[in-house]
Amino acid sequence: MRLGLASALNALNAEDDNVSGSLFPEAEKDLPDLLRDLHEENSNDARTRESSSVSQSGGADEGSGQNDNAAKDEQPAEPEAGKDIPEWLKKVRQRVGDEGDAYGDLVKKVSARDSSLEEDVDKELRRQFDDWIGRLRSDAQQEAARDGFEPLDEEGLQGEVPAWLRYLRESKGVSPNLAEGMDRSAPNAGEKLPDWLGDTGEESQAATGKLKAEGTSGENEATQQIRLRGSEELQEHQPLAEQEYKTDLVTEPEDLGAQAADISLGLDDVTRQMQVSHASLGGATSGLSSQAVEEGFWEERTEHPMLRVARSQRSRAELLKALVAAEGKPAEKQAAQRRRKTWLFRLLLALLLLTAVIFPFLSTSNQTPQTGTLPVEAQALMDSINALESGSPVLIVTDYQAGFSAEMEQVADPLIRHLAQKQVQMVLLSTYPEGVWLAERLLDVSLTDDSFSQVREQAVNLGFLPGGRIGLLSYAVDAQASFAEGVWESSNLGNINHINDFSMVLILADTLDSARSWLEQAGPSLIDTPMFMVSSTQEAAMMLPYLDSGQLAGMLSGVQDAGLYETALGDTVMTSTIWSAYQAGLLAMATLILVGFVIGLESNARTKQEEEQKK
Amino acid sequence: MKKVLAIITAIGVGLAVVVAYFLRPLLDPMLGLLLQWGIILGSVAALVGIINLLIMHWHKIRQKKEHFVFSFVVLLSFALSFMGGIVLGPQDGTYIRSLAALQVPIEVSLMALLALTLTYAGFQFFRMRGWTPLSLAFGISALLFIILDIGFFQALELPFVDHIIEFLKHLPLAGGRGILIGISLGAFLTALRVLFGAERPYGE
Repeated sequence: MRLGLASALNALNAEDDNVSGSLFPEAEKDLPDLLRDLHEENSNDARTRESSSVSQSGGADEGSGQNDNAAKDEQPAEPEAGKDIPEWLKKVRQRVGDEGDAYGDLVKKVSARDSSLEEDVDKELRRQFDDWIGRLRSDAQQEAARDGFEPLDEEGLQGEVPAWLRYLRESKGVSPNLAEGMDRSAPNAGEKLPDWLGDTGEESQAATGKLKAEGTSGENEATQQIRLRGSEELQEHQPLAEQEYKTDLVTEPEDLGAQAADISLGLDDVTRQMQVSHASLGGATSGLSSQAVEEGFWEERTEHPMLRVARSQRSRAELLKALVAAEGKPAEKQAAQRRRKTWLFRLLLALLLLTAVIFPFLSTSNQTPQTGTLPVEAQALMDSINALESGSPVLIVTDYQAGFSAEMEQVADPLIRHLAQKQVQMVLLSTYPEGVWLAERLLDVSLTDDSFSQVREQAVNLGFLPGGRIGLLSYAVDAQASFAEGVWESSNLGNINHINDFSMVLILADTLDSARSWLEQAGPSLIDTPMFMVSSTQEAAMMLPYLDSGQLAGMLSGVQDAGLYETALGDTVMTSTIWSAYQAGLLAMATLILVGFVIGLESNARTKQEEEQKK
Repeated sequence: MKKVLAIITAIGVGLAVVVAYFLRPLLDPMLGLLLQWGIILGSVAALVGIINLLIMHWHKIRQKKEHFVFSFVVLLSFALSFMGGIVLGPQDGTYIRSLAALQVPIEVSLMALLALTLTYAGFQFFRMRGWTPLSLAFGISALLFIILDIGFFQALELPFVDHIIEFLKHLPLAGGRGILIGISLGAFLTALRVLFGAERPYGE
């Protein structure tokens, strides 16, 4: 700056040198007062020094090319210029040469005052911060005393790690040495923690680290106190703690006291919430193994003095413990026991029923004919067969499945033999595909006696009648047209053109559906021909309405009626083989249902008792 | 047009069969003809169903889907039965005995198993539900008819007991009649819906 000013003055001098010296007095009138004063005093002394100062300033400007050129231009004119320099300019040049810098006393005084003020502010800030830290320390000590445990120093903290925290570290793969070796005061201590713990640990460290950075240079006891409660314990209360700690401490010195009070209040809240942090750990440990959680709970209860658990929280913890303990093994064990018991019971049931059914077959003493009165519908059937003449055509429909063949053959057996005794012509037909060979089998089973050989030879099996219900109606409309050409003629049934030409229609049906088909489709076509039904026991009840309305002329259902029919015929063939086993099986079933009946009563009483206990 | 044609055909044939049924034996030839057509169509549909079944099982074998071995058993059984019927004839004694020797034991065993299962279910019914009106009604009726079917009381040959047994055995008459009336009304309404075109079981 000084070089610039000197250059400007030189330039001004050069300009003044070019102007005539007669003009200077006019220009001097326009000078400011200060220059005028300078002009008046010491005018002669300044002339002698002016030449030397100009030469100094010209030497100082050697670095600049422009100034060099200016200096070169001025050098030839310097002797003249030294003569014409005004006094005010000389004084200015002299003053510039005397002063060491361009600041002057005013600037120096202002700088000195500023430095003094800075020292005062630093002292005040330091004092207020020390007061705040002192309050924090005293509050923490009072809180610790109120909670019943002594505040721990750094060493004590590192040495005495709570059992639950030790366990959590172990379960998350942090070795005890590593965990204990962590420098709690280090800002990056959280980096050594596991991910799940390290995240919140880092936040806590950041909060405390900010306190330290904003405060004084050294470690202080208040921040230690915050960390000694464990940065891990602060995880759940991190938002609150962070909010309190993030107060800006260096905004204005006047606010420091109020902010320190706020922080102290925030620490109180944090400390109170720490007391229940252990109880809240149940939720945090939900992802841990069952055994670990179970042990963690009770170690914590017995060893850690900070644990204060409400009754409801304790009951929830006990419920969780029970659930964890009941998980897996017991349920599987109970299911296995139940399966074993069920399998055993079913085995016993099967053995009981099989014994009841098989034993009568082995015994030869119980081969007496069945006694009782033949039902009315069975008596009507018997009367109708008795009324048949020898050679009368009888249509026998075998509409039952192979699964029912055992029962149906036993029921139909006395009827077939009765018909054979009457020397009728049997014509067999079925709307079931398997009924074709079941009809043959029925004749083979029933007509074993040699006296029935002629009847057996004369029996005609028309086979399968296709079309279901439509086929039945078609058969009722035109019997011959329902079969392929030649079947009817080869069957020696020349005298039968219509279903009504049969002397009797005997339907052997195991289901209501097939019985209804015959009754509803072919029944109306039967004018003089009676229709009878032979059914299984389970379908007998559904046949009763047809019997009651007269659509059925008679019926024989179930093994019992068949036994009575047989007895009425004077035979004991079926009774000696089947009837006793049938009775024994039914008796075993009735006994089991009766036992279930009694157990149901006991179950009722138990249910009522449980309901009363719940109430 | 196809839709209208199907509806007209269905309604026309249905009305013709009904009229012919009421005007028998005058219209028996026409009724018999229509029914024969129906049987032929039904048989062709059954044949299509059988072919479809065989193709489905064949695809299962080719693609080696889960349990394709059973499909192989189905095809093999069908082939043996079909060839036996073609070669020997459906009325042949050997053929019939062969089928009976397979089918009768299997189905009879299943029926015996059903009896055992029902007995166990009856026992469990009381054990699980206890005594409720439903379980009591079921238990009493089951026990009553089983005991009646055993024949102990009939063996007494007492006229008074016989009358009671006769009465008890005809108790299901009311329930059976109600069921049959319900079935008949349902069939009647369905037939009317088909005749009026409201029900189209033959498709849109």
